[in-house]
Amino acid sequence: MAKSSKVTMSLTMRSSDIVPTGLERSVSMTVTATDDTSEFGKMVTTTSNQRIDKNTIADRAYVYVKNISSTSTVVVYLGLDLNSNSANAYTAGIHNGPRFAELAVGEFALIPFKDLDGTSPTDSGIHVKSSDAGEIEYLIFELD
Amino acid sequence: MAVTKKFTASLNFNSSNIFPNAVNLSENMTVTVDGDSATSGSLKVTNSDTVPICTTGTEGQGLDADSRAFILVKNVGSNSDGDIEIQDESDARIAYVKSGEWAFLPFMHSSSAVSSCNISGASATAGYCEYVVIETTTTDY
Repeated sequence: MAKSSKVTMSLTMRSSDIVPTGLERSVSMTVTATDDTSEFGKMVTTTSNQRIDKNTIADRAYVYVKNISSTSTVVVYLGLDLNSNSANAYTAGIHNGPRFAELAVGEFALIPFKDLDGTSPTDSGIHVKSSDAGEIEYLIFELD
Repeated sequence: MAVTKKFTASLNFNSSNIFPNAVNLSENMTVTVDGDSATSGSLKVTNSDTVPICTTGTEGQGLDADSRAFILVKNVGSNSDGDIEIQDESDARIAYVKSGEWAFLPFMHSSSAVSSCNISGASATAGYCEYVVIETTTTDY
């Protein structure tokens, strides 16, 4: 049985002299996640599409991805044309969906994801590929 | 003439029990940004609206970015207000932000002539958001 957990996320953006008056922006939020659909780890990336999530996201989730490569740029995007029952769906040739983010070395993104249920194609997943061999650190948790 | 500036973003996660082990993750990054290419504002949108907040090419709306940009969007509406979608140039959803939530992402521009990041409402109910867009020049680690 799923057990819900609270997750607090905060972000501070700071620059002393960007925009005319400087920039200091802090935001925070606490969400309720389910611990049976959470994933955390590292993945070696290539120039080919690879799916991060294990197809467990039914609706909404938070996706954190950091590029920990030494030189490669990593692109995070929504992969479409997936068949939820086909482990090799992406090797059969998905097309790239919308791009969530492009991460240079050391950069990260926090993206609220929503599955595209009800649309065609009916399944979607979070994919990455890199400009060369690379590596990411990721954290995904589905909302309760 | 553009003057480059340093911009730092810090992200922290904290949860005592979401995973088998507690999560207490703290990340920082500093990038060099183009000091004359940053903007912020607030919007009221429904699903009939598509408002560019960052564009390259010739659209001429939102921040005119020559390169990548960091984007923060926060839904500042109440629970009864509409949800916010962040979309790419094809108006396809990148992120979905409910009341009180926010997204932080480095938006890439495509090699095509025009690339944009747009804000739209997720439904006919008006949603409210604040945004910050900061264009980068070169990265610095």
